[in-house]
Amino acid sequence: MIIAQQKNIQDIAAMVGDCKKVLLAGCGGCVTVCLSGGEKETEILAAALRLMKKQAGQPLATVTYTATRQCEPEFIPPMDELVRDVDAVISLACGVGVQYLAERYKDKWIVPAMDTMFAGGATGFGSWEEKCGLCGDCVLHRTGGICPVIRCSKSIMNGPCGGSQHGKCEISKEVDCAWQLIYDRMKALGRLSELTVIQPPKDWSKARDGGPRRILREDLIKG
Amino acid sequence: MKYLSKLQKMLDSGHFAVTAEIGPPKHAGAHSIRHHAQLLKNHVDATNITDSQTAIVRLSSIASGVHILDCGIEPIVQMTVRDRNRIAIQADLLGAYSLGMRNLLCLSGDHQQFGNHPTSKNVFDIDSMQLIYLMSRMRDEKKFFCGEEIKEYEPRFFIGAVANPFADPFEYRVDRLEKKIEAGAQFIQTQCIFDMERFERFMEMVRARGLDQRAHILAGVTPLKSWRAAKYIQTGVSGMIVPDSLVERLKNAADPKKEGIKVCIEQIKHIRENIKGIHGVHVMAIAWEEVVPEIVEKAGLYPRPQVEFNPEEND
Amino acid sequence: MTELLPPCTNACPVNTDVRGYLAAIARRDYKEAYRLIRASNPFPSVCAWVCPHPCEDNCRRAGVDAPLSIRSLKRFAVDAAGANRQPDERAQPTGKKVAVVGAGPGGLTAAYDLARLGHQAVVYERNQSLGGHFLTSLPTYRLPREMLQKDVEEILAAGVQARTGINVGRDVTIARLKEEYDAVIIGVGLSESKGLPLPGFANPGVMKALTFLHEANTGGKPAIGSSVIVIGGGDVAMDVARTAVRLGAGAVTVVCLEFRDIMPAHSWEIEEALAEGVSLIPGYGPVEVLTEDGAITGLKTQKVKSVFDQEGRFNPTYEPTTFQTIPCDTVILAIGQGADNSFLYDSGLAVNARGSLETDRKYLSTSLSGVFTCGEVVTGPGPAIAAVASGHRAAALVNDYLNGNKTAACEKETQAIGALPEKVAERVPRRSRQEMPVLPAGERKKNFKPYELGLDEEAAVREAGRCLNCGLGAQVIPEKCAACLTCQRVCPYDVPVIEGMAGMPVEGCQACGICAAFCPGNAITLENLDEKGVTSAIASLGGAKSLVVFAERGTCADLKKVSSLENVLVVSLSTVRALQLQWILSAFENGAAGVVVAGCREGECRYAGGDELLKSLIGRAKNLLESIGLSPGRLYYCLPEEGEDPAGLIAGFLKECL
Ligand SMILES: Cc1cc2nc3c(=O)[nH]c(=O)nc-3n(C[C@H](O)[C@H](O)[C@H](O)COP(=O)(O)OP(=O)(O)OC[C@H]3O[C@@H](n4cnc5c(N)ncnc54)[C@H](O)[C@@H]3O)c2cc1C
Ligand code: SF4
Ligand code: SF4
Ligand code: SF4
Repeated sequence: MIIAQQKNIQDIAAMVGDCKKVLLAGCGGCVTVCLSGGEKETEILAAALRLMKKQAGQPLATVTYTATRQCEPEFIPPMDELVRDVDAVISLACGVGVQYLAERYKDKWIVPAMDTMFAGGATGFGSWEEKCGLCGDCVLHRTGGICPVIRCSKSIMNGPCGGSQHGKCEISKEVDCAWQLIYDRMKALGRLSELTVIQPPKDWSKARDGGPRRILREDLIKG
Repeated sequence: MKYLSKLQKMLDSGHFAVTAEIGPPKHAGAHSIRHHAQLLKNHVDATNITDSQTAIVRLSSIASGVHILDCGIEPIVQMTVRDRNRIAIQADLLGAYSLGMRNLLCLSGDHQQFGNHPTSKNVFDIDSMQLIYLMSRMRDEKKFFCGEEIKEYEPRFFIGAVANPFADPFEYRVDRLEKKIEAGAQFIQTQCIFDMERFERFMEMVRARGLDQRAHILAGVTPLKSWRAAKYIQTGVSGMIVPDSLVERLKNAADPKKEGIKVCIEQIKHIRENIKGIHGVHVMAIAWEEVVPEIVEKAGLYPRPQVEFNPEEND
Repeated sequence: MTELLPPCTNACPVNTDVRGYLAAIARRDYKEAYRLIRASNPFPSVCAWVCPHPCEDNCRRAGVDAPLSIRSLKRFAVDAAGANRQPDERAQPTGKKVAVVGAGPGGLTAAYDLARLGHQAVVYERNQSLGGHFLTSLPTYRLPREMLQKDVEEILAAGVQARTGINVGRDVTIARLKEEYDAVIIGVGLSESKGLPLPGFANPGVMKALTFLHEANTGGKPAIGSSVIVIGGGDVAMDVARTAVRLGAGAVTVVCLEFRDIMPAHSWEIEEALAEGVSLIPGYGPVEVLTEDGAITGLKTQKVKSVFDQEGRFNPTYEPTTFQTIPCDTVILAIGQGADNSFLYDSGLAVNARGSLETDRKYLSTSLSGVFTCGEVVTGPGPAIAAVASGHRAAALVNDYLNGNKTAACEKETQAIGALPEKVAERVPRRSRQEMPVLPAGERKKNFKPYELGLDEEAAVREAGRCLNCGLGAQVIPEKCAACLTCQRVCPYDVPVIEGMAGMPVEGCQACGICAAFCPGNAITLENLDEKGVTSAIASLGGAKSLVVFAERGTCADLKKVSSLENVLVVSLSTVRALQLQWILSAFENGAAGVVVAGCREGECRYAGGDELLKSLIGRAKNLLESIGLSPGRLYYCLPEEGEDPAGLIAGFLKECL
């Protein structure tokens, strides 16, 4: 799931500083699950912004709407009516949602309330961790099911580097050394010998490339 | 027999090599580099030049190498994979070779969060293992990293790597060393040794696998200026082990600096006399380059054997 | 569809909204508590004194520590509600007339319902007053007659007419009534004590329970000697025995067929009788009343071997040779009641082989169309509330009949919420049950004064707060649930299960509302939290400069001093731990000068777990306030220490804010 967190409210307010009425668009997908942009957070942000602007003597009207998912264009049109008479839309979705809104409402000021952080999951109530580097070329079968691309702070494919100590990464005692985890797991699985193979450089073209990555499924595309 | 560098020739001829480290400055002036090179000139066989060590921006290692070469010492260019993608690395190393550098040390590099640009974006396009492999392939098979042929003037570096016997998991450290040798590392410089006992255990395993026969291993030593420095390394630097006894010894010393130098000399002697499979020492006198000659002399490694090497002789 | 009810409500024959009125008591809204009680029972005051409370026997709190003291709370509510009550609403007159024979709880309930439906309801009662057994049979120390009076007055105020002193069958026949009225309901009850066809029982010194009680209750002095034997093991026998004690009988002994553990009387009746000095000889059956010169000298009894046969039918067998003779000078029979069938005279109604009225127990009909029945005469003996239930049903059926509805209303099917799962019960904080305070036995047995003293207000409020609000728990709005697991992660009882979407099994959910406070999709609602009520309360501020206090319902009650102040709005929640961040913001938006979260004292929260999450929420709220330019000091988490008065602390904060 995509993990996102809300920006500082002052920064959000500044983005819509000159607006009299805004739509806050929540998302029922990942950001609901990671407790940052669902219906509840949307209402909270709306109330906080109203209060803030009232305080500053520039009252702001808000409307709220929580889409099933903002990352699907089909879920956007139900907002049409609401968008019509607002000066701006604040999206509480990840960056994907913001862009779908901007795409549909060409002449509206669409701003993000969120910082889209990573692909990961909860590690407890109120804590989340990045788990996948979205590299487009998964290596988990070679690394004991632990992602070195994102969980190793140097994305080393032939780790661990010399900074690994007591199972922790050199960058912080709070961060597990991914390669220690990989080593432990491969050892437990009796597959340590696989780690002696020199892993070739990664094909990063499948990860972050010049343009947006695309998947085209010929079997599914109509016509 | 053609040698890739003077250092290689020295090692291959069975001499106990001495290398040191010069940290480039945080500015564009070369005088400190040149000063240190002059200072070390007669006491070491080659000097490493760090590549923006601890991720603090410094004068580039290759440019520093030019100055050092000019002063008459053979540089060992350090190249980290932190700041450059594979295109930049190759470009820089082609340049380095063209400028007369012959020794290359491949490393991951300290994470940028420790440096003075913690908000920068790291690269880590390839890792140090891959760099070792790709650079040796470049030399031996005349190929760019992508596999494309290099028609002529391929760089022919004497390639080194680092090993840290003090990082975890301990047992895996020897595997990883072997992997580096497998990838093409011809010489190895170790992390600073303070925990001699652990280092000896490491070397035992190294010898058991015959790795000391396949690459020249240079033991890393560092003179400590004070017990505080020792304590800092002990607690604040990941992947280093400093025994409490050493901290205590410095603490109790009347003149800690002298004591630090003394310890370092003892370590070198011990390594040279008692640990088999070590072909040299690498003295990392961090921001204390001036003590290196004294250490080398008192460790009985002076004068240095004279080995003739002409960089052009291979081209 | 079967309706799922809290077991208290389900066990109550009239399905009283127990948890509703308990909650009203907990928030000190006694008028509402009274209204809720009376909504299904026109005898709130009587029942508050005498109901054998099947609700209590089924209360799920028993799985935690002890059931709620429900009847004591009803008694408290009835007392506390006082005189100023809401008049009943009545429908437009229909012009239809119904005669009700018998003014016991069954008949009066039927009449009351019909009157409210707009029909003219006329009750025929042979006694001079209304109330049936309530009037004549229940001992006055258990039921002060003012209570009956109160209920009867309200019934009459609803438009019920009463013709007292008319013995139907003698003074007027049912056939006649049928001509005069559009429908007739027979609610004559069971007013005859049964006799025993055994030697000696015809002696005039052998009395019958109902006659005895009637006489005692109306201030008479029944002719008892100094050594009384009461035959029978039910509640009536206990009433008789305890009345005899109060009349001054030296020794009172209850003899019954049943062994102690299967005596039909309620356990507390037996215990209270024993405490008052009544002796008990269970497991013996009467054989003969022994007399000498016409005076009773004793009762010969035989030891019982078994009471019920293999099919479970009442069919006593005896030890052939074990007899016991108990000396006494008075014998009172309390072995059950039967109908006085004199009302049947010339009625044209069909009777069965035993001469009793032929009835349909489900549709409460008789052989004559338009003649219905209710109460014990059709249901057999039981608690008064069952007669009330039957009165309601009779009224509904008669109403259908009068309106020409062919398909008579079916009784709704109900089911009780299952037992509290053990793992939940374990976590529910223990709270001791408040028992009804009573006069000591030695004192109360001296006279006919009521001996149950009633809970004081604090005890009552505390007791009402023990209710688990069964069935008012979390409901998930499926379209909104993202299956995010938050509810599962925050529930202090580990109740929610996520299978595709979240579900909070009704057996386990404690209705605290904590999950709802954190559900990111606003997918959880709870009746017990009443989110709409909360938001509209906050909106009602309308910008007025004021202080908003969020408090747990029980705490709210303690905050009376504060809530009565001008400029203070107390918003009650199931627990402050269910507080939602947007409510705090909304309070400020609506003009609040300050917001107080009235926390519970250490260990006093109704619900399991601590207030860590609430503290974090308040921390977040303060940060948010700060960053939007409001002083975080305007939000106050009031955590009174031992001995500190929250109202005082809040009043202090109020001064600071305004
Ligand atoms: C001693 C005793 C103690 C009890 N204690 C409790 C208790 O603590 N709690 C509890 O819940 N229940 C108790 N009950 C049971 C409860 O009183 C009955 O369930 C209830 O009264 C039944 O109501 P009913 O309307 O069916 O009949 P009843 O209350 O018997 O009323 C019938 C009415 O019809 C009248 N009537 C009869 N024949 C005629 C006629 N021919 N013409 C005109 N009027 C007529 C009678 O005078 C009477 O007023 C007790 C019963 C007894 C006997
Ligand atoms: S806890 Fe309350 S709602 Fe539940 S059974 Fe007992 S009285 Fe009824
Ligand atoms: S917290 Fe809300 S959205 Fe999440 S699983 Fe529970 S009910 Fe569903
Ligand atoms: S209301 Fe309370 S007990 Fe019920 S599921 Fe939610 S958190 Fe759990």
